[in-house]
Amino acid sequence: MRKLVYAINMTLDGCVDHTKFMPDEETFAYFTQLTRDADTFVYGRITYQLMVPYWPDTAKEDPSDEYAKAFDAVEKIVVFSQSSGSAEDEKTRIVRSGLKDEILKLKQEEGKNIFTGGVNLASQMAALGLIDEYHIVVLPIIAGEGRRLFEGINLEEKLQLKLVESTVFKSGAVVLRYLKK
Amino acid sequence: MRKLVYAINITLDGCVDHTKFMPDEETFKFFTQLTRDTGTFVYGRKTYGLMVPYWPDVAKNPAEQGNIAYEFARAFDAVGQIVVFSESLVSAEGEKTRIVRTGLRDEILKLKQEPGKNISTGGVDLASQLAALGLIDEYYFVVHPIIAGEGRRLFEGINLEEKLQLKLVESTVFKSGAVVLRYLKH
Repeated sequence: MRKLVYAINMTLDGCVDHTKFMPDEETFAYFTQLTRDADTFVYGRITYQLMVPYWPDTAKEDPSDEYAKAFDAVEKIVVFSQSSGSAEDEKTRIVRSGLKDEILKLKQEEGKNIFTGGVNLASQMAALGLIDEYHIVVLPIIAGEGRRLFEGINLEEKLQLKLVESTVFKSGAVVLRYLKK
Repeated sequence: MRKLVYAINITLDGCVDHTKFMPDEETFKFFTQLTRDTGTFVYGRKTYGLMVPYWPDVAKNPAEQGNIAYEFARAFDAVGQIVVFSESLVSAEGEKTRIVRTGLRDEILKLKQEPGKNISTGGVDLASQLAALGLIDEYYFVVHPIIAGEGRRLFEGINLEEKLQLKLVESTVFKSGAVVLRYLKH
């Protein structure tokens, strides 16, 4: 069965607002590798609109951008959204309901990892116990404001994870990798 | 000049509510060592009320001997001075404790000039003020492998003019999966 991998940049005080900080080179390379290991993205509407068409456009304009290239090479994008609207292209499918069943079905399919980011949808998937692996990149910053990781998550009880790896970047960012317990 | 050290337990989603998780043995030992390196505690009213008289009582109770908490209690009890910043607290336990009503910044700068071991702090409200004033020299975050999904969050309500950039100097992994991240003020 394929695994669902979640990765996000976060400040020390838990802010996940991407406008508050700029990832360093190693963080970009890390996300590039995670993206290469995936062939399906699962996004909510907000994250999807942040990523597309920005990264596919970047891939076309700047062939030397490794992250953009890796992003563009991912074969399938599933967007969970209840508001109307259409997706950019053929590899993208919009799903309106049945998050849990859809993810379980995707996990049964053959292929590389399923990869997700963002806040809202990720909180729902964490609460449903669907995320198999968490990569939290902790930046050495206290933001003092902004949206926080898993804000508004609805847990029946706290979620205990298993730390499997920690990696320090030159910038002082630390990647903490956890598995679902 | 003495340094002001801040240490706190935190979940992955930034919850610092001490009722949401139980520190493991290595975390207890880690806080015990930090406490042994401390000459002065600086607390707000709430954290002070959580720590005193609880820990001094544990330190005096022979039945606690052999528990991991006992060594921490002994180290806590051995710290020579406690300064509590509070506008409402009327009295404090013991001669070594002093209540200060105003002038946080000046008081901390004065404490830093005194000779002795580290100044150490914890908690949420006062620590947020100390961080915003740039008074904390060293930060220890013990990140527990838990998503709490609720509870008070680190530096909630902090009032920063601009984001605070820290310098990572150490990371240590405990068997429990807790990770200690140590930072210096930039």
